[in-house]
Amino acid sequence: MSARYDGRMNNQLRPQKASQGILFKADGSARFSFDKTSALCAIHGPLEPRYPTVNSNLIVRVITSSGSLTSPSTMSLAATLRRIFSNVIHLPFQPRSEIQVAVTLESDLGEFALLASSVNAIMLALMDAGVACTKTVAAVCIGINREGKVVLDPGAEEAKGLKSIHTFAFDNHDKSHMVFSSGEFTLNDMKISTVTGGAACRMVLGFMRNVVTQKAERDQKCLL
Amino acid sequence: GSVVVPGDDIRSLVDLEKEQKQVILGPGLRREGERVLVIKPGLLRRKDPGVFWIDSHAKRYVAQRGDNVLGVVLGKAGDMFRVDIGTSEPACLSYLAFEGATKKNRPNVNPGDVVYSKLLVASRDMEAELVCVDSYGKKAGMGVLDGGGLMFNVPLHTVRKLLNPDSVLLTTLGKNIPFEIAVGMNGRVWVRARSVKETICLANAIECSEYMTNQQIQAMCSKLADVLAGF
Repeated sequence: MSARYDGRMNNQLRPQKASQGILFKADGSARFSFDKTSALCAIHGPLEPRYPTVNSNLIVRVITSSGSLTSPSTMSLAATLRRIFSNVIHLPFQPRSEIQVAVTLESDLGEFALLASSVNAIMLALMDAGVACTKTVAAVCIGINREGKVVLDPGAEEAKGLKSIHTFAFDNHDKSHMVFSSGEFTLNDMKISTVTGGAACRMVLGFMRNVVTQKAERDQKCLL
Repeated sequence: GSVVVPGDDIRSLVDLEKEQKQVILGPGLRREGERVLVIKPGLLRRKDPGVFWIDSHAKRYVAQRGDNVLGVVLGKAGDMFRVDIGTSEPACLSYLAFEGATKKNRPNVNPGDVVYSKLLVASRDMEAELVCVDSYGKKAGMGVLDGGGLMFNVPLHTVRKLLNPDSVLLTTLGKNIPFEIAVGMNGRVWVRARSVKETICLANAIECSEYMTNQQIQAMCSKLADVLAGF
């Protein structure tokens, strides 16, 4: 296997960084990045819903770094994220209320990697806010290059030269929550990348577990 | 305890003791058929015999029956007051739920007043109900808090820390600054001291004590006492 543009092998993720509790006013907040592809998420809720509902409402807004809120790509990203998290947040636990999620994409390039960073940032922010969730999800971006090899976490420039690119989200019961794909790929490609995606998501879940553990341990030190 | 994330099944930890007949699942845990699922991230704690819960940090309050909370009166609606306690919808407080209140003798409560009250009914499916009277019909420190004072918000775990019997914050502050305090489990605290400066000082001290150990709290309190005395 030859090294990629930044010296990584095909099966290596970019270094991940995450922090929780960074925004003062929000009930929960988190930032997650795969190297420079970073997303910031703020959570408010459970709040009074604007329209009366029987079940709980989940509102997701995505803002790009240039401030664009209503472009087709941000609206479709928001809809995808809402679909995923409607199954993750334990909505029956807090009926007749609203949970507002605001995601800011802190870089412009790499739409699929941004989707993955957004999912991870939202999950960490939900955990920071203490919103009841039934699962923990993590997402990762997978590409298949022109030689047919699976490539983990492609960078923005690298993604342009790939045959197909996919973003997978798996939860801690190893169930798939999302597959978002683009490009030319066969059924076999999909099978292989699903297996790799599951394994990579497990690694990112482990990283998120570490982040939560470190925060809990720091908080525990000042308990009585 | 160990740190758990939502979706973890902790059944193996919970039925460890075979001789236990009853296992009580507290906040953050939910039973789903054969599994015991974690729904909030945090430290898994247990108290003998067989009480398990998740210690998680949050800022937003969800109404729990029996909690003493601080609310702000939003308005009157028929026979009730609507009170904002920081949950997703306002709670209601009946006219008659005050000491010595009758249909002819209405309590003197106006919109904008701060009230210290107890949650009588709090379920996720119903509107929360408050009362300002205990089961003997006495005030028990509840009711409208007036005469000045400052109400401010703190995260929920700070409130639990304040009320912990091992905490030295309130006793240490009280040695130098006499004050009155009402602590609401909804993350709101009301303090009143002899002057505005002392009240603000107390509010800052309580807000800053979120991540401090007892030793650091005592150091902070002695520094505050020096500053107030003019050094």
